[in-house]
Amino acid sequence: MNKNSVIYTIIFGFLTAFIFVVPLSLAYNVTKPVVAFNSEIAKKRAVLASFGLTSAGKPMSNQEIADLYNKVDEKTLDGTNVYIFRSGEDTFYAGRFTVAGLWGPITAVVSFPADLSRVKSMAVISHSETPGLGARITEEWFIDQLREESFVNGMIGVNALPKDRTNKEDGMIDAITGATRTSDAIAQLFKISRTRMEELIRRIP
Amino acid sequence: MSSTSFLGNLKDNLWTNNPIFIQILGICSTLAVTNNLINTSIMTVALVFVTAFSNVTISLIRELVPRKLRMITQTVIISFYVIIVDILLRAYFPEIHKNLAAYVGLIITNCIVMGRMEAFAQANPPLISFWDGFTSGLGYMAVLLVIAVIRELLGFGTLFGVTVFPIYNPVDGSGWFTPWGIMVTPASAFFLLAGIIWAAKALMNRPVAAKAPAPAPQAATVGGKA
Repeated sequence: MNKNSVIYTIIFGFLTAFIFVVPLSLAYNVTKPVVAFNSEIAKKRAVLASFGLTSAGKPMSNQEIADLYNKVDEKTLDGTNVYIFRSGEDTFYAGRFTVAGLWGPITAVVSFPADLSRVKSMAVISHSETPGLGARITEEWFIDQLREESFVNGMIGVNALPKDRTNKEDGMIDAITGATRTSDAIAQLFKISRTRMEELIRRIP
Repeated sequence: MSSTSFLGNLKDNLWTNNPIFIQILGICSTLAVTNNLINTSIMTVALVFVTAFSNVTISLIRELVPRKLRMITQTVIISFYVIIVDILLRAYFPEIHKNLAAYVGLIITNCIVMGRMEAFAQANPPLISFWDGFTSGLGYMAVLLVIAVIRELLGFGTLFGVTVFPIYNPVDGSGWFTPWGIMVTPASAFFLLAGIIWAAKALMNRPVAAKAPAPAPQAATVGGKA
C-alpha cells in the first residue's frame, strides 16, 4: 500500500493512537489503587505531622501511620474536615486549607491550639511551586521556624532578612530566598486558615 | 549528524556535538531545575530513559510512518514514555513526584528528545538509535550536573541537600557562608551555561588555532609603519 495515501495515513494514525494509548490506560488503572492509597497515607502523615506526632528524622511505615492516626478525631463541618487531637488537658485543631501559590494552589494541613493564638505547625500536602525555590516550603528548616509562632493582629508576616528564630512572639517567619511570592502565600494561608478555623471551632458540638 | 559507530557516537553526544553546549537544546530545563542536585539527577535520568526508548521505538517503525504523520507520531511516542515515567513516579515514588511532577511533564517539550528522533533515529537501525538517545541524555545530564553542583553549592551551601558550607547566622554568629542569592534564580544558569559554552568552544578550537598560525608581523611593517 502507498505509505502516503489517505487511507494508509488514517489507518496508521488510528493504530498508533490505539497501540500507545491502551497500555497507558492499563498502567493508569493498575496503579490507581496504589495512588489512592498513597494519597490517603499522605493526608494522614500531613495531619500527624501538623500535630507534631511524627518527626522528619524518623521514617515511619504505613502501618505505624495508620495506627497512630487512630489518636486523631475527624469531624466534617460545612464540607470541611476538622482534625482534633487531645493531649492531656490540651486540645489541638487542624484543617486542610488551600491558597493560591505562584504557579498553582498550595494545599496544607495547618494546626492550632484551642485559643488560636499560635500556629502549632503546618504540613504541605500538594503544591506546584518551583523546585528548589518555592518548593522549599516542604523542607524541615522552613516548617521548623513557623512551629508555635504567635499570631500578631491575626496574622503572621514574612521577613526578607533572617530573624531570631527562637523568638516565637513577634509573628514573623523568614521568607525563602528567590521565592517571595510563595512565602507571602504561606502568610496568607495562615491568615485564612485561622479565620476559617475560628468559625469551625464554634460549630463543634 | 552524529557518528554511527558506538564509540564515535558517545564522543559526539558527550563532547563534539553535545546537545546543550553545541546544539543549544534543552535550555528551559537547564535554567529551571539546576538549583538542586536531587531534582536535576531525577530529571536527567528520566530524560535519558525517554530519549533512549523514544529513539529505539521510532527507529523500529521508521519504514511504516507516513511522511505527513512523522512529527505527530514522534510526539505520541515521546508522550507515551513521559506519561509512563509520570505514572510510575506517582505510584511508587510519591514524594519525588510531588516535587518534580511539573518538570517530568515538560520532558515532552524538550527539544533534545524530538531532535534526536528527527536527526538520528529516523534514519538509523534500532540498536545504534537506542545508544544515540542514551548518550544524548548522558551529554545533557553531564552539563546539567556541573551547573547544579555550582548553583546548589553557592546558592544554598549544600550538595544533595547535605551542608557543605555552613550558612552564617547573624543572630547566633554560627556558620560563615553567605549564600549567593542569584545562584538560586534561573538567571545564574544563563551565566554558567554561557561560561561552559565559552570554555568548551575554547578547548575545541585550540588545536585548530595551533595548525594555522597567524601571518608573520614583519609583513605589516614593510610600508614603514611600526
